[in-house]
Amino acid sequence: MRDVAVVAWAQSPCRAANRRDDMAGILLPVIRETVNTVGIDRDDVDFVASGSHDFYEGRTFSYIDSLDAVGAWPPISESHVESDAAWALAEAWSWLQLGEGDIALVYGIGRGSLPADLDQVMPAQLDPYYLAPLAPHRDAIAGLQARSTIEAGLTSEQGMAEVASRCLASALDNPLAQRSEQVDAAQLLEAPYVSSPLREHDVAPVGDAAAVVILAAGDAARRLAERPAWLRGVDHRMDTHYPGVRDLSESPSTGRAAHRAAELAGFSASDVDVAELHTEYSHQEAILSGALGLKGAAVNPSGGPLAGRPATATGLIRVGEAARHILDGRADRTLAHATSGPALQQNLVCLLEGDG
Amino acid sequence: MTGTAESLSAPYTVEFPFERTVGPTIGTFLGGLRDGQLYGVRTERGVLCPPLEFEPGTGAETGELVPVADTGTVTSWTWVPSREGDPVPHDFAWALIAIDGTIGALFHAVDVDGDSGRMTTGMRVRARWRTERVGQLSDIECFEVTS
Amino acid sequence: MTNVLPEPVTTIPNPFRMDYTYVAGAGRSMFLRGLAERKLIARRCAGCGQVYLPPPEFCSRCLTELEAPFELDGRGAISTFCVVSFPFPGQRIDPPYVVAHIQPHGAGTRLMHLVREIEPEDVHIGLEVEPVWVPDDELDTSLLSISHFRPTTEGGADA
Repeated sequence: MRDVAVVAWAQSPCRAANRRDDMAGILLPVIRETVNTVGIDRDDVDFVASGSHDFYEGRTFSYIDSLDAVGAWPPISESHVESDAAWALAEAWSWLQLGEGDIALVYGIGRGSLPADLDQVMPAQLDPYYLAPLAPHRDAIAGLQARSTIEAGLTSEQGMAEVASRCLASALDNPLAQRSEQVDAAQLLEAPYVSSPLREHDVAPVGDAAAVVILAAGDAARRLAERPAWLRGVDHRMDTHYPGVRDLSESPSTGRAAHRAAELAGFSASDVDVAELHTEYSHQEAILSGALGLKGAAVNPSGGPLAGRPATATGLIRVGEAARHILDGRADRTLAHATSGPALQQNLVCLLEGDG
Repeated sequence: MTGTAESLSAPYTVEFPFERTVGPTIGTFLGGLRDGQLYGVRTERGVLCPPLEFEPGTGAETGELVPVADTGTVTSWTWVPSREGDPVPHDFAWALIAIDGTIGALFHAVDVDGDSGRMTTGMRVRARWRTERVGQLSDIECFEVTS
Repeated sequence: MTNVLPEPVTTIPNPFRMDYTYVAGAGRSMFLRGLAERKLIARRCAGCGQVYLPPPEFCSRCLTELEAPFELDGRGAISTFCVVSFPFPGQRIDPPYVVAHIQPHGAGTRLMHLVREIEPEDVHIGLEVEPVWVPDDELDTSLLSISHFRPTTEGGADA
């Protein structure tokens, strides 16, 4: 295995709706910030990987727009995933492991505000035979999962509100968060259900943002960052799709990804100081903490997705936030989790570590 | 186009009028719905409903389709406001329903006359069939409380 | 007892309809607003000298903000073209017609547009062309404010 690290990270502010910028316009200042942080020229980047989704953008091959921000000419080595950009990071990590180059730039763009009604869009991620024809409410499958999680004894509506309250308070220290406030759980519980037992605060607010991570291998990483955030283990797994054949209160794919990441890393999720979890819904924190085996880690100190969920950039932001604690010298071992698909169907786990 | 001082913006619509092939297993299940009969598929663990071409736990090919009851038990549910196009014209529940005698659960709507207080995990429900059926999941209008 | 299975269904409808908001972006909007006033607005990069038409906000080579906008008259040369001869759904012009990449003089990028007022067999790479604007009451924040390009005439674009 090569040593591969996050050496730079930046994101644009999470906004409920950015009506000023096109794709490249959102992304370009963030790319500029990361390359300036490590003092490289874009020509020094050996590989570019990105993640976004046409169903959020509303156009086929929409990500081509964003290539203006990385400069596709002269021809670059480049790849795109139609998913959360955390999966682009996994691809870039693999590419660096293969020794094809030393520096990779990963970006994610998520624009959840462009669809006029996400209820029209979200069924497109469901199976086309048994689920999509019913066009369920965008949060309905998560609502089923939340009830299963409560009835399995893993959380409660009170517990979910406490998670949301904690995340929104943490986000007060995150100027890039979309939502932040000091509000107690009892007050949150007065709100009506959106898809019971989910209330508005239980659902991560969708919006727009871009995120960029620069990865570097070996000596390049040591040259570019004072304290690289080494990606010691990366793995992703998925569960079967149809919710009727899953125990929705569990996430076996998260457990498997965490197990494999720990084998690669030589330490496990139980050893980390900070965990950034891609909780699209508040009840998922309980499922994920259990599946990962967290012990005493600070969960989502950035506020997490409950304070801002810029569609397909959300998972990559988790990696960036987990790396930031190491780059800044505030933690030695951190974890990032990303998800894709309905009710935590696909899950990615990264274990990061700083030099002592 | 309209928009902010800095950027123009405009509404537009994308439509995909797709038809999708369904394969032999799902096709037979949907044929059963058209005929007013629910089917499951034999697996090593029992009869799976709704049927899949493979057993999700092991990937093993599934076997024969067999008729099953149109009654079951709600294993989870979520209460939602009714929107245009929904199967029930007033507020209702989306639910997972374990069809009697089968493994797995079917995702469908449950109608309790707009009274969320009547929804419970473990409640007994029965399919409400449409009179005009075409071989789609909507041939079951929704499930209703077993009287 | 024999298990007589129903006649299988072979296909189901799987339609999607999704409504979106298109956001043109600040850079592109400046260009589109220019078109509504018969103006082709370009911007130059101070770093590499590239002139963009239409201009984004940033140079995609240098990552720096482009300089102040200025106007080009739209006259240029065909850098490549094709003759569209087949009909397709949604087509608005009867084939055959010419679609060309036009390199406007003073710009480092190319515009794609129709070339008319010339027989397709007479079009060639390097042909000098000029924009033909639609009447004032049809001008819009759209490239359709230019009806087409035609071989450059003696009197210029506004003749």
